[in-house]
Amino acid sequence: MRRGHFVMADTGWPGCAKSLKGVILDMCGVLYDSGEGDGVAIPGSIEAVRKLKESDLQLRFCTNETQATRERFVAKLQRLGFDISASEVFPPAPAAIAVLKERSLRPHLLVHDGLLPEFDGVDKTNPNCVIIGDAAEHFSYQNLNEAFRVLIGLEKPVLFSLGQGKYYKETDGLKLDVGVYMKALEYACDLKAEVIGKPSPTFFQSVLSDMGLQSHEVCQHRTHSKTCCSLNSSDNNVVFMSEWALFRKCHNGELTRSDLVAFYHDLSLSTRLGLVTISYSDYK
Amino acid sequence: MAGRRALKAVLIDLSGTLHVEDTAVPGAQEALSRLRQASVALKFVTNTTKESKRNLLERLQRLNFDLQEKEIFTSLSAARSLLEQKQHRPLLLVEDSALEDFSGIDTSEPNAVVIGLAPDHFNYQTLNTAFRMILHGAPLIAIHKARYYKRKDGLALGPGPFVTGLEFATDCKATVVGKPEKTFFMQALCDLGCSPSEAVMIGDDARDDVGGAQNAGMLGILVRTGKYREGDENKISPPPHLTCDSFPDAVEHILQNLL
Repeated sequence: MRRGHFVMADTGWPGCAKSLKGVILDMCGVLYDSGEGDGVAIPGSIEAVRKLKESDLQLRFCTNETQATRERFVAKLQRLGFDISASEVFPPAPAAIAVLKERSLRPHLLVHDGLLPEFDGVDKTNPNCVIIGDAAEHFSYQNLNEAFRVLIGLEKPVLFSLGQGKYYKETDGLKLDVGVYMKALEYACDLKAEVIGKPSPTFFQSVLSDMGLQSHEVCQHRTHSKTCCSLNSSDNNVVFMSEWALFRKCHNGELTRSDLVAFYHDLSLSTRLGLVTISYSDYK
Repeated sequence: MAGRRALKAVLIDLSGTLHVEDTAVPGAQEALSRLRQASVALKFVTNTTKESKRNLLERLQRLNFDLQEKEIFTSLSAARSLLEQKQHRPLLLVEDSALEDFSGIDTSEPNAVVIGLAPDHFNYQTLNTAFRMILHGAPLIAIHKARYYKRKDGLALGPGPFVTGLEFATDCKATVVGKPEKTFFMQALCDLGCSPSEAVMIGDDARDDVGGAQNAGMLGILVRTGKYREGDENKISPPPHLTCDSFPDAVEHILQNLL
């Protein structure tokens, strides 16, 4: 299907869709749901990604996944059936490594064991900064204390947080995310962390640069994590559709209000970046 | 000192001011005796939450400090008052050694979360439990929000960072009962029968001891022992009434200038 089809007035699609050249897709909650083992692909998403790739739109994926290296994460998605390669995927750790190199920093790591291999080539001796990721069980008092001591001992303490989420949903309930521990260390050391990953503008900018596109040429489709993890809605009530499936339904006149639940996005950030956003209200 | 009445009471911090773990600050015992000879009431106020009043008393007496249990006022005491007042049933994230100060409080089917200094409880699993309770409406009570404290092996995270993290996760504000809350100081002075303008606080934490006391209307003296770090006196406004090396110097200043 061609982009030209979506500019039809009766679909209600924003006119700015004419200038779209790329799409950035969020992953967890959009392409798949995490859970037992690899998790499960959200119905329609595999096909949607394939169709996006067949089109002339540039496609990238961004995620705040920090419990596994990019390589293993992409392998999981491939196992689920997605046609996706590492160079198209933007998790925080590789971005963090680039920052370390740029600023000649050596990190003390408080991250999930599964992420450690990503930092294999990085000099970790005599650390002059701290990086925290979604370390889950590793967020023990002792480990946090170690990270704290590194920071408090530095003349110019630098703390990088891979994402800043409050919590996420797992099969056995809600769990605290990296943002909580970022706030804890910020408070303890009286400093401000630098967030690498969503929703940092620099992070999105690096994705745009890789696509060689300007923000007004890109459509961002992501979930607003606060909403999709809210206590009052279980994932059974939320259906995440890819943009492509949505375009198709609009075009075919199949889209009804009861189909749509999924377009959450960070309005203020998107507006700041000048990204085209798809608002739920557009489809009332 | 225009506008201030004569000094009637001295509030003294414990950990970091009179002692660090099991070592007394040099000269502190004698300084305390000298202070007792002046006609001022004394109260020992502390955010220490690992130990019950009885434990604190025993440790201080072992270090040859002359004081009585009724002169000790802790943030645990303040927390207990709040729980009784509101009839909460708490999930107590406090060290086992502090539990005796909560004896008699019903902890079955907890509907409130109380966080003290409890390294053993600040693991991922327990914090998740507390988080879920708060998300479901349980009030979060912080015995205090100290950023860190001094241990034998260096600085260590206090409960403050964990309380802050939970506040962020749940979009809730904790009720803090310990220093530097104004009510803590007012409660401490309450049974001494004097007002804040007749009292001075001595402590090693610029924000929690001195800042908090001055905010309540008292004078504050900052000592350079315990968790004090170079430049701490510049972190509060107004600055401490006095910054001096240690407790004995603070006592000298009081005896010579404030009585």
